Amino acid sequence: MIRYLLLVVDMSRAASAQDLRPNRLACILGLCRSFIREFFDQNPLSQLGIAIMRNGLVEKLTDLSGSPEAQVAKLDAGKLGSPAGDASLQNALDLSVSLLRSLPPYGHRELLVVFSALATCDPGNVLDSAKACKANNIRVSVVGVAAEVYVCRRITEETGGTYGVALNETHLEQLLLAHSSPPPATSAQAKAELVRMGFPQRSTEEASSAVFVGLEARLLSGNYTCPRCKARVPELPCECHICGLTLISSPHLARSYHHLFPVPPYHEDSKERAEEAAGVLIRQPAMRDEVPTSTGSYCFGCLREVSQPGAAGQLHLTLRCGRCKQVFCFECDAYVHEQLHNCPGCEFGGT
Amino acid sequence: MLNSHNRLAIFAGQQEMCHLVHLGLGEDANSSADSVFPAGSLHARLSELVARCKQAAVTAPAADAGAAAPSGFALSGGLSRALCLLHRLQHQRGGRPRGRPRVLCVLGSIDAPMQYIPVMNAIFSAQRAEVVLDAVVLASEDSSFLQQAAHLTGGLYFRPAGAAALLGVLLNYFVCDTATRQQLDVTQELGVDFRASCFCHKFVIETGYVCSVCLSIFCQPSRACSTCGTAFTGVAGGTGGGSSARGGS
Repeated sequence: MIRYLLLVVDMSRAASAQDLRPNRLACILGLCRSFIREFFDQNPLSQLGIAIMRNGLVEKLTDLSGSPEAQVAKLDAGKLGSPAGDASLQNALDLSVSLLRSLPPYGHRELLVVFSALATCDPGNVLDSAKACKANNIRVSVVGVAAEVYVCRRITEETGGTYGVALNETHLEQLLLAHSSPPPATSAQAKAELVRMGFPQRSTEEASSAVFVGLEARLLSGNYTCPRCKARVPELPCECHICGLTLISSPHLARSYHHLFPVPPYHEDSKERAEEAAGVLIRQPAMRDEVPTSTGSYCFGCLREVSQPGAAGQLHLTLRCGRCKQVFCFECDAYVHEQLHNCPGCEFGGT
Repeated sequence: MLNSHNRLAIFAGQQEMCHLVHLGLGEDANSSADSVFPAGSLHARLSELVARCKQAAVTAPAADAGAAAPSGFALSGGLSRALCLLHRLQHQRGGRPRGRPRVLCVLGSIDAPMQYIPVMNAIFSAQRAEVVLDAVVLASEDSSFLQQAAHLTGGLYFRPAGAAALLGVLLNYFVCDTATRQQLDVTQELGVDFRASCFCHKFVIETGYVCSVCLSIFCQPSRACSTCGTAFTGVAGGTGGGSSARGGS
């Protein structure tokens, strides 16, 4: 799914409290930086923007964009100044409505507020703004640092978001990173569409040459060419400034493909399974007896010795893939299913 | 470079096989000359492997007459096995060699489009594990999978002009570890092919249609997504400049 998230950080005077080391703001900014990286890792094609609440007003720090480095650079406590004044939830909600309202309907619109204060100081009725968010399909979630605040609870319940209050720094990190994985989508929220996108090639000119690139016509050497209008863009992902085509590189999309084609789980080996597998493996191109072992079988992934199923005093737990019938050890099972997302045996044209 | 903590494993194969030909993990107490300097027995083992593959290719057409067309070298399978082995070795104790672990692929075949997703999965887990993927391609055209692998993991990609140049490339760039590599003067081309292949036909496409729910790529618009089953309301995107994602200003 494609998410458009606005992250609002509270810089009211409550953020200078020192119950989190060194103070709440420094701790929150550090965690927001790792949240941003994790967000782009898990959500290719999504866009994120940052705003801060200070002195009863809300200031937009960065526009919604798809690259993490520029956003992370802005979240520097030295550049942002010191926290002061009150936090205003209504201004934050109104900013999110104005920014997210004009986005395409297939994207999921979200607002995440990291709230340190205990009250909100608003020019009008904050619950009206919450209704406006709900009308625009914006899901508001809050991560609180101080204590549970009733109005936050009301707003998140009305818009379908989550509200959690952190007990300590580790808990705060947990709550924040929980928002990096996509939320469950309701049918009312986003309509699915086929979006036209382009996959540009990186230019192959020599390193010493340079071209005018992008809207500001900067002189750069490495750049990408839009496949539709042949304009040059500096980095991916972005929108072509001439024809408006969304440009991405295939690794961005490929990061989420393992969800579509998951690896079948491995089952613990037993004598019956071993015999059935032996019958199947005989017919396949032989990739056996590559490593000398005392037990006669070894893990197909990491070539570690594993014991025969049912033998007394097992060295390592033996597992077998249901599809390709190869043997794996416990560590390879964890690695394949959590990080690699490819079963080595099934890649060889297994049955 | 020359270090008693260096560990070496060699996989070789063709089409749908990838055998382990040599494994030098330095674990045996009585390491024979073979495991430390494998060059002698390596030639014998590789010739035996080539003979075995030829024999299998001759007998195979009779065996599975109804099987699908061969899909080219199982690069994803070889990379997956190598990464599982590296994962195990990284968590072992003992002396560490200098630099990052690396995987060198010497390939003679062209890319098989069916393997796009498994190869990308392998590349991302190599990125996470800080493993460097290098490639030397001896085929008639560039391998976009290995170009992307080298680009994303910080490795080197070469397509030498002929098989005679292979030894020069290997000795110059791949004998040293990744830490020493920065001292070398390496000329790399900038061009990397980042185009994707569509899910329906596996063609390489420059523009395509992306399902907004599951992010699968199609070359033609259709009524419903074949991967996640969502019915589409319409086709969107990219008609006028500066519409959707710019913030108000």
